[in-house]
Amino acid sequence: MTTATLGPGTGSQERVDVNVVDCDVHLTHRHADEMLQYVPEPWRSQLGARRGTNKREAYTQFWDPRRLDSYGTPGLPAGSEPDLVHRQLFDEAGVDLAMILAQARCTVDPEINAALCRGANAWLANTWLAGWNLGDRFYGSINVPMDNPDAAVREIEEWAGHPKFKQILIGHFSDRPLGYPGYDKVWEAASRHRLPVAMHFSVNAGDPLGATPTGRFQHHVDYHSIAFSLTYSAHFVSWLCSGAFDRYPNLQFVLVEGGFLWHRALISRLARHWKTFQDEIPAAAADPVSYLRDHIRFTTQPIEESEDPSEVTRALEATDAENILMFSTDYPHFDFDDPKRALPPGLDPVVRQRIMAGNACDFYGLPRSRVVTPPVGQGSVA
Amino acid sequence: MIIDAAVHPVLADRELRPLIGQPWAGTGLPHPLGVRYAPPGDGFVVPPDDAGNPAAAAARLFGDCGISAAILSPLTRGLRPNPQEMAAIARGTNEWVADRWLTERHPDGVFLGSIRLPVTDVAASLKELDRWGDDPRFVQVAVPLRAYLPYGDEFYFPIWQAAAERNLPVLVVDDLATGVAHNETPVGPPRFFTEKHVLTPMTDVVQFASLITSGVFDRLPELRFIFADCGVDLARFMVWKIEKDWRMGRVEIPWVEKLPGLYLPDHVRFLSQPEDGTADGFTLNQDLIEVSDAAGLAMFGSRFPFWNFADPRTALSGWPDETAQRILGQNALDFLPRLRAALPDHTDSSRT
Repeated sequence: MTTATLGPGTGSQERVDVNVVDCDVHLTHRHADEMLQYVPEPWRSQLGARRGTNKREAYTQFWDPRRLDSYGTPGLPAGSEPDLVHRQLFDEAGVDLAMILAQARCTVDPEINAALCRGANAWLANTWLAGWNLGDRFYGSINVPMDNPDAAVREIEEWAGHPKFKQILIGHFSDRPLGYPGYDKVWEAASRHRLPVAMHFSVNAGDPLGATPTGRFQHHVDYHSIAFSLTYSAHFVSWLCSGAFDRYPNLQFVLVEGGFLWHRALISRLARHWKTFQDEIPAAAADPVSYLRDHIRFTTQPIEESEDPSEVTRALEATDAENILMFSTDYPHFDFDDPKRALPPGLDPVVRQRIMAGNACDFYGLPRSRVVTPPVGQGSVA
Repeated sequence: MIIDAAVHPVLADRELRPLIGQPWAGTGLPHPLGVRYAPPGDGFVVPPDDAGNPAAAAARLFGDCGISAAILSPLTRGLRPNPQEMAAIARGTNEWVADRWLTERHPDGVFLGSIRLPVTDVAASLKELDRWGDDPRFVQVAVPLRAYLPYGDEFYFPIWQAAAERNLPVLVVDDLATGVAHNETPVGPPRFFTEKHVLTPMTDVVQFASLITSGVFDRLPELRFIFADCGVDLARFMVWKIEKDWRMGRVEIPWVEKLPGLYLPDHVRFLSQPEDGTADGFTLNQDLIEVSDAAGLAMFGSRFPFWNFADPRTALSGWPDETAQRILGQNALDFLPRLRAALPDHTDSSRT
């Protein structure tokens, strides 16, 4: 029988090296009420059938968006049961430490969104970051509503001191690219607390689903393969040009699940004309590349693939993946990347190690070793 | 032989007005470069009066730069809300190119034309195609980068069909003016020209992905597209992503029976960008040059007279010789079916 909570900690002092850090894990609640109980009133009572937390319109997908084997107890969502998650992510996949991105599904109402973010954060703090965090292998991300910057700052202040929240989590959508000065107060708070800001694609009620500069995507194939990079690129370039990293020296961003290699084509385009553009842009650095290592990271999943994998190896080594790329699985989603197989063959071992764990440990200040937890079914996990 | 696949002569208001008829000639015309973003300097590498002057362009391109053929694609002031206005501008632009640029012979090179199509109106586009499509001086058609719908949409299919039937590749080029086009990014307009310029190639990705996933190339095996604003590196990296989703999601687009990237060699070229083959804007990287297949997919375009003019004598310095030769001329000769026949004898082989 599946239970909600794991058993007590192992008490073991045995430690092993951290070799795999997973920077994109999507865990959730078993029932809406498990999270909604943390949403403050009067908003909680207003979240009815239509203004729910898990309702969205989306492109038609022709398969289950989760790994079929990630469903446990019938009727419960994938990624909601601690024992199954521990077994699949830690025991089977070999992940050592995992960053949870449990995104609040926002509405068109910025006040409700603030309440939903508060609820999602409180729920996470009391579940996966507390009793379900056997061996302290999970870290969390603070949901903030970017359509409500004042509330976003309040949320950062509320959770910044929590030892398990290692970053801030935002969606891909905003009214203007996020270097726009109207968002500065959020970046000020993030920088002051030295919390990186992770961007993850989100399909919220207020987003113009599938928008591009030339109309809407028409198929899931082009939507799913391009939309992430298309919107992330707008924010990425906006941050670089706006001088945000000069105003907030500790400001850092992680672009999650949006691909990696595209960024290099755009940064080289920006660098090529950087001096020509100097009259216009506030950024102070001598070239935009110099901001990257200090301020921006990317995650791997879905890893770029070619019919000739050695091409991906060569491209990764040409684009500073060694320093700015961090491994992720996207568990429990259908396009999960297995840590044992995700990176292309022939990659320099040092580059591989940096991508799999080193970059994330440095970036988030994570421990280089962890306590050993017994496999699920052999003791502490009921 | 150097082929310049992207020259954008600027059609000034004073020349456009007499060409577009009433009521448009009496209106305040949209700015030739748009007003939302200001390019560096005054936007040109020549005095503004020379930006639309054939003699000045010939002196620079044929005389100084050694270009044998320059394919003209003047911009058409963005998407206009009124389709009759947009058609009038395209019609006037094509007349201007034919009469002012393609008539006079130059000793060292030849100007060739692109038929500008007002893509918000299929019938008007087909009319322009019919008017100029049999004129051998026009070697391609040209459409704006941003449209109301991605170019794989069925709305545009008759245009592509007519272009393919006449052996005219389609140049997709940023029309600079925004007009009533969608915003430059899905998350609103950027603050700076800089951002807009750097992000423009992502829209090219949306367009070529749409053409591939909609099956346009499957239905029109002769159809060819040239993307003016997207480098080969970005194209390759995004093609890998599109291919990955095709492997998983092809049930939605069953007509796409091969890897999306395999459509590129037969159907798509990209005009070379100054940052191609680099990870920092300047330092050439042999791995990137090879992985992107720049030798097979890139074509040179100078962008004269715009601020980012690329001089063919220096634009590909440091590139492997054979690759540079292909990009500077051979790839265009191979890809534009009408190009070789449009070259006068005196430029055909003597400068190869």
